[in-house]
Amino acid sequence: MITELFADYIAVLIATILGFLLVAGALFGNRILAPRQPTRTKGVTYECGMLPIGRSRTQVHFRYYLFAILFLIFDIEAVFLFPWSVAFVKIGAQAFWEMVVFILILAFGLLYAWKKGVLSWGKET
Amino acid sequence: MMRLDADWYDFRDLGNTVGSLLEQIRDWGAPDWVPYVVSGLIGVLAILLWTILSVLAFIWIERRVVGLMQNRIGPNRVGPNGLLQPVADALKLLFKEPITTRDADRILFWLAPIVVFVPTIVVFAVIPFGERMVLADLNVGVLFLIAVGSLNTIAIFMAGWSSNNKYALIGAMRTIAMLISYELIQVLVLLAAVLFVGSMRLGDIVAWQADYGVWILFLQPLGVLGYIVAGAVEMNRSPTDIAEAESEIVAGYHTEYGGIKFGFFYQAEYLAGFAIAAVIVTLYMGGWTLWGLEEWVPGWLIFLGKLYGVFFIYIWSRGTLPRLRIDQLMAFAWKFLLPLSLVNVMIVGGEKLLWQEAHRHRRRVLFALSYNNFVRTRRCRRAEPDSRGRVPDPELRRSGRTLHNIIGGFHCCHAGPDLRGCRLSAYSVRDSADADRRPWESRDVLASAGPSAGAARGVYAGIRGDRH
Repeated sequence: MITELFADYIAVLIATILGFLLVAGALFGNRILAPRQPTRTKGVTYECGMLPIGRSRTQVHFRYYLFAILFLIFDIEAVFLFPWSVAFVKIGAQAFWEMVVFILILAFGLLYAWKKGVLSWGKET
Repeated sequence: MMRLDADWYDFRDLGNTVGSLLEQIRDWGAPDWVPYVVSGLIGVLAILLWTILSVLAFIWIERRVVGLMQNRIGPNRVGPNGLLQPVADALKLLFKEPITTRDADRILFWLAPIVVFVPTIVVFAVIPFGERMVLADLNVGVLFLIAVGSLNTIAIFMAGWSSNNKYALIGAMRTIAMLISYELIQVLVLLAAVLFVGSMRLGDIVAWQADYGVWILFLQPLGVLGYIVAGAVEMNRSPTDIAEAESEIVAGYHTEYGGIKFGFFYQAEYLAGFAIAAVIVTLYMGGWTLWGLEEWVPGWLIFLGKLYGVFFIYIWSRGTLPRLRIDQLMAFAWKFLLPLSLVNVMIVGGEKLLWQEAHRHRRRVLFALSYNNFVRTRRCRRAEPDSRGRVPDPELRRSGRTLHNIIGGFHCCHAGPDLRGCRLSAYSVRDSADADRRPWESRDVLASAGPSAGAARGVYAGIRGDRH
């Protein structure tokens, strides 16, 4: 017995499956139709026409991780804000001021990161 | 809202057709789940057909239009006016040898095009194309959009990491840094829209806009600007295509991809563009309604018209603007758009409270709020140096200019054929802090460009807010 609750998600599931089948079908068709003659040179990683030098999985700047952490903080904030936005009408002014405080605290965190130079990409601050 | 009680063959309401088919199936005494699955299948197939046809059409349209903007012809050899060029490209990609490099992580390498493509189809499941023409009107529609729309971050990292290529890895890292930054803005901006309507169901948001006759575009212009910019970043297209900046990192995360796998990355980019345009249309521009016109014209035609119109903005910006650097983009996201969107959420919350209080004059209060918000959005220019040259913060100023370059950079196409070559100098005027000390680049270019220059100067002055 399928309830109304899941009816919508069945459509989403069908969309996922059909999308997957479309890509898989095209990849399979490519496999059948296209020529396959792998050679040693073809399998070399591209690096401006030269033989690749050293490992490809190079180190990356730690700034990416700082941005990722900041992103996490604000994304979680957004997750908290979504239920708030829907329940806003029922709770009223109280909810509003509560959230202003919440946003301000996080905005203060952003300001701190800003002043610490986390948000700057180049050398200049 | 208007309900079309038409026969099943009435093309104004395609939902009707499917509805009567489902009735028929129920009459035959099929089990409960059959109508659900059949309606889902029909909807998904329709969406797939529409997306593939639109992508094929728009590849041609975009290349021709960008060619016109850049004073060249564009594809014109395959078929009449080059119409069959996208088909030829697709076939070529299908017949190309799939190469997997020796060092690649084979499973992830093959999985990445699938993971990047499937979500772009699934996103359309919650978009209402017309009355009752929505595959799944989820009660958490907006959240679903965000969740599924952000899956491409994972796919891009899969592609970049599994290629085992330095350029691919650098491209993937850049893309992720950029995508997550702009995703925040997207989320906060959508939050403001949801906050004012009070529902995450996309159908409700469309109905709300139709009921009050006011698009959220007018209520929250700041939000729309933020979403347009974040959308441009999300779909990885010029001027924000640093993920695959050809002149820097070959092709970014899909350097090692060729053949149909590359084709799927390409198509996913287009579909992401359509998805973002669809979200803008649904949430900010009234979806398939147009102030009563939907009674006469099929809603899905209105929807598609708006969608292609919004998508054209992105084509326009691609044809007009040079690529931005990653530090500009990141600073713009974190130092300009993020604080702005946080403020936007708070202001919209306050306005919602006010609006709740107004029992009788709800529509009039809406208009007042729209006016107020428009004025405030214009004031955001204050991040730029004002007429007396005061600059609040150099970083902020740079970011403010980025906003102008993305949003206000469209005027040269307006100006007619005479000006088509001047695009870059107009850009550099806006980009250089001492624009006014270099008149040969700003006004003389416009003045010497013939009769259409007057109009161009007007537009230019209007965008800059200058009083020449």
